[in-house]
Amino acid sequence: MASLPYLSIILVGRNDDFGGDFNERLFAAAEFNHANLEECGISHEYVFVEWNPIPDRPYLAELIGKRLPWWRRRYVVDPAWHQHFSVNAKLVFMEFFAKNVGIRRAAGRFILVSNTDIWLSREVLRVLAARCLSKEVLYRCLRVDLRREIGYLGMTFSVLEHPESFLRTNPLMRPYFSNASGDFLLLDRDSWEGTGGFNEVFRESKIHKDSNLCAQAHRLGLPIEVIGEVYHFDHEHSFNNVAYLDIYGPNHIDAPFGRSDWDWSGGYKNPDSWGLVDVREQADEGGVIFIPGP
Amino acid sequence: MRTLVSQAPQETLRIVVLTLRQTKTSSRSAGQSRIDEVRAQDDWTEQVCRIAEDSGCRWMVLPSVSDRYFPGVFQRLTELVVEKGQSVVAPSYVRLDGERFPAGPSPFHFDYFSLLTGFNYIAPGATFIDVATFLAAGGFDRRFPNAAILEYLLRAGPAQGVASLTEPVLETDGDPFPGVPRDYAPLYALEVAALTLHAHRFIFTPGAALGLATALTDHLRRHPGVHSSLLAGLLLPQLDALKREYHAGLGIFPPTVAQAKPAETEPASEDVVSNWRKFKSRVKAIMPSAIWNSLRRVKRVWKALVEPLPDPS
Repeated sequence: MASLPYLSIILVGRNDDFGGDFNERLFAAAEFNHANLEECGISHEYVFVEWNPIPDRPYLAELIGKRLPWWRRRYVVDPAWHQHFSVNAKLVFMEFFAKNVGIRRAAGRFILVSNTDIWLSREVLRVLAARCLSKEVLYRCLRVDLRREIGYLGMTFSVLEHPESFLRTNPLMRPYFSNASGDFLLLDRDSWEGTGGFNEVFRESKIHKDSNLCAQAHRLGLPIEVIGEVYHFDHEHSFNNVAYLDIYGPNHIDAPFGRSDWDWSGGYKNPDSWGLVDVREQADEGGVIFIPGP
Repeated sequence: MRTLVSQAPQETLRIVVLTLRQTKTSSRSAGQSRIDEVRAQDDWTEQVCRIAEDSGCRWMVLPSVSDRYFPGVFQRLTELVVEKGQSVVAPSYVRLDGERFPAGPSPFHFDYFSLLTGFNYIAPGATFIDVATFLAAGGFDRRFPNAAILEYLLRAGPAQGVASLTEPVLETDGDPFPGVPRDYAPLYALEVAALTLHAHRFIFTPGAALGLATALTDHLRRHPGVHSSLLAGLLLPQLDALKREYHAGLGIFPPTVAQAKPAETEPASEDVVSNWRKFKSRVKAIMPSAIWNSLRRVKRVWKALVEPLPDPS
């Protein structure tokens, strides 16, 4: 019987060209990170959850299986669940509901919730390889945004770390260390259960739910520790680029990611069934696991 | 040095002094600490690597001249159970105005993010570096000779790479940086700013900015007349407040903090005015009178230009 992996990496998405080249960025980042994790001897699994898939388009979960055969655990959540939970017609992708689905099904001792266009730095790999992570500590990283012009194909550390690649940094501050937190939240599996996952009570928006999790962790007394940085390629739909535009109305009320003016520092208590944990799954021949609707 | 030499167990302690002078080796009788004086080389960081490797010791520490170790500290270190390869940091007391105050979080622990933001509360002399890990990591970064220990902790520290003692090991000065001699404060502040700028991709972190401003202001006070009087006039009245705020970032809270208010909220306090008068008299004392008189005339002309004309009625 195969031993459980040390690390589970939870990524979510769908085949919707988010940011212009969502799929290609996902493949490039996953190949890079997976190769480096293997080289460092870090036993890991990737878990992908597709939420509210686009009709008449192939599932991204299937495309991943074809392109990256080592990526075995891929889920597709029936769009009916999106209809079931959503209270905002403009919110097309409930990212953190999808991430909860992945968290609840992860097998690793430690679970890293991240995003599909994040490249791990050498120092993060070194920390993971040392296997000295503590339980009941939320690990965070500084996100460094890189210029999209440098391209992400054939990526190397020398390009990631080069000063010419740099666009902006997303500085962290006490007590929540929450800036751009959705790109790196690393916690042991039991502590994820203890936090109750991401907020499923507030449903009007997905923005700032990552910060909400950081505040929840802080409230529960989990220390938050910064262990290095990760790299993110800038794209046109990045919140940093759209946050200050006028196109989405006051407080982003019309945005596809939902309103931004809710109090994310407040607490929440998810139902015990968070992450669709009680739903019976169905596997298909291609290796994709379906989570049928309510 | 006396507090180092008096540490027990003496047979496990080797003291090497890097000196610019001609060296002499002082061997003592068996059972006593051995102090070696070694001529410092240009690349002292590389030299330290070689000494550490040749020594066969497990730990290495680089105290400053202002450090006073407490008895039995090294004994405690040898008895501490830590994972192989981990370095150890310890709390220190900082001497301020004749009293001493603990630095760092309470309870004491290694707070990586504090260091990352330029609030280094760990005195170099309270950092016991695991030699094997140090050598495997390439030793000190020679780009940062004055903040070498901080730079190493930023590399070695993430995710429990560094363990900590809970009891203070030494008493040192904090002028304003714990364990950094005052003369080296500007260089240290610059290197901390460079380190944290790199880590944060070119954003001045709060601790680095505050440390740099405090070191600069102290430097202005020590070298009156060299710098712009405008700059000095702006910063000098703020020196105590800057130092207090920086120390607060290190977890150092002298009792006067509770009563003190930030200088910027007291625009015309007596302290500010008297500090300005003191500064002026110092500058006047060292400046040639011809230059001083010219400055006074310039000031009069400037006031005449900007102030409204007197009402003829």
